[in-house]
Amino acid sequence: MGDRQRILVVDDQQEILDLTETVLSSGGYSISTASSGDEALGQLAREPFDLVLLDINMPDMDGWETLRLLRADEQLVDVAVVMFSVKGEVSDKVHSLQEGASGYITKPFVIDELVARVKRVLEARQRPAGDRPASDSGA
Amino acid sequence: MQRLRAQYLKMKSVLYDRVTGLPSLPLFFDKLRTLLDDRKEIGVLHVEVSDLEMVESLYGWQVFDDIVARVAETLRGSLGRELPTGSLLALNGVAGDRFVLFVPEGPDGAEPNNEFLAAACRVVSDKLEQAFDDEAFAGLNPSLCFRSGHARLSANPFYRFERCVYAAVDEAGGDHERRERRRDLSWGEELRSIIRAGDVRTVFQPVVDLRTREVLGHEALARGPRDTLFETPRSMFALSERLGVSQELDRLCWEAAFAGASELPPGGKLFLNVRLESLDSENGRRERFLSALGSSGVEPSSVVLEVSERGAGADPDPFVRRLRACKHEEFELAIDDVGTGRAGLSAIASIEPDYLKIDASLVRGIHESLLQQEVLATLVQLAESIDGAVIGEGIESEAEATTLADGGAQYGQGHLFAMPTEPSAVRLQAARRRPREH
Repeated sequence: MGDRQRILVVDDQQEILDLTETVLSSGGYSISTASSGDEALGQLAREPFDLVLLDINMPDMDGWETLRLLRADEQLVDVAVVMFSVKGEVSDKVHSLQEGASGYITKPFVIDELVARVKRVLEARQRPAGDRPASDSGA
Repeated sequence: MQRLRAQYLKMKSVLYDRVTGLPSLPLFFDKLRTLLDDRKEIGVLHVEVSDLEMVESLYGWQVFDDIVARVAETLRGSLGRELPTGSLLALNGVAGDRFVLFVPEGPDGAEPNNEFLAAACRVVSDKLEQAFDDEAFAGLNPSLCFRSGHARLSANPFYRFERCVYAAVDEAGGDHERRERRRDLSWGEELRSIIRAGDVRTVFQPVVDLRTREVLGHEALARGPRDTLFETPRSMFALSERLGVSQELDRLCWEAAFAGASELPPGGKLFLNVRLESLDSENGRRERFLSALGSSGVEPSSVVLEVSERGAGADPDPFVRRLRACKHEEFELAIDDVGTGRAGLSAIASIEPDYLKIDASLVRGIHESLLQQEVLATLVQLAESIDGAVIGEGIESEAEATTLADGGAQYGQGHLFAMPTEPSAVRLQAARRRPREH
């Protein structure tokens, strides 16, 4: 697959958008950004993405609502979503699981960790279910 | 654009009631979840018009619609007046017949308590009586009456949030009480007779080191009479709470555990499920527990008390405080079902348990779920910071065991290693098991 994988980063804070865009572009991904849930849904309707990095804490439409609306769209039901949040509580991670997210990153994040997570989530999507390894080292 | 428009209208039509313009319950899930981030509980008022079903069958749907429209108008008008601003009004469903009010604040912005909610119910009922004291509705037979009830909503990560909302709405509507009263009558007698007869036995399941497969100890699991509803502890304790006999049941369970433990191979730990209340010094409960332990012949230093995080209920602070107060130096402490209760990581850390037991729901399929592996990583990190160890429950496959071990969990429990068995069978198992060769 020669094309670069496409990631949409959604966060109401411009600094986070700038930072993630810089970090992930240098990882070889094609990055788009949105500063609200509304904007994100608009972009998702216009072009295909492989992964969405979604901030939970946004005004108006928060990450949970955006995720739910995204999942209600048949075209978007399989997009991998990784939630972003300052809280990092286990109950938030369990909630992410229930809502069909593929990952959860606690802010402030370590750059290497972000890149590694993104890589793992995208790799997991590409592999058909039967081929997944029995263990993942370096969790 | 056309397609989007059509979809939008479709959504709108199933989410907003056309007659009253009110949103149906699901539209508020997100808002409620956000509100509960800042508060422990929200008040729920349930308003029902009876006998609306009868009215519709006698007088037709238009009359029904008129009534419902007027109720909606009256309730809307009370927001910001009799009811605090910021209260939310929903219908139980499109073309529904029950109204739900979510009240995030009581007077002065404090959390709404029962008195306030009960008063709000009365005020709402009065207002509705007045609104319908009108010629337009005078001829109705059966005449209308307004029933309102209240409950409190809190988020509990063990359940899907939507179902917490439905349960709170049901409770406010009183259906909850009616259903439970019926159940209690038929099952209460059965449970009481089990307790009177002491008909509880114990089976044991080993907790093993994930890498060496050596047995660290055994968890004592209570079992009610075989093939009955009460065979599992969960069903026994769910009903015992309501009947107020949880203390007796808890005591029965650990007495049975002590009796069975005497047949276990020596040197291993005994993981014992206890309710926090059994460890309280008040009413001599703690003393009773300690004396039963003393006369059992079980070595106190081998005991690990398991307390479930779910026991934290809606307000984790008292739970945390009580656990810290009863941390007895001789016993070790395990927090069970971590991640499915309300306590939160820093609260759990402050208790400094020796073990964190991860619920089976977070272990199932962990080798294929990056998110579950992330939860594991968080808990392993927490355990390391307090010098504790992580035990994974409900392990059913080698893949799960390997993922847990690689992720930093030290111990595990589950069908992969051994089924829960009678104490006599445990010795046989121990003789057959050999340490895993690398």
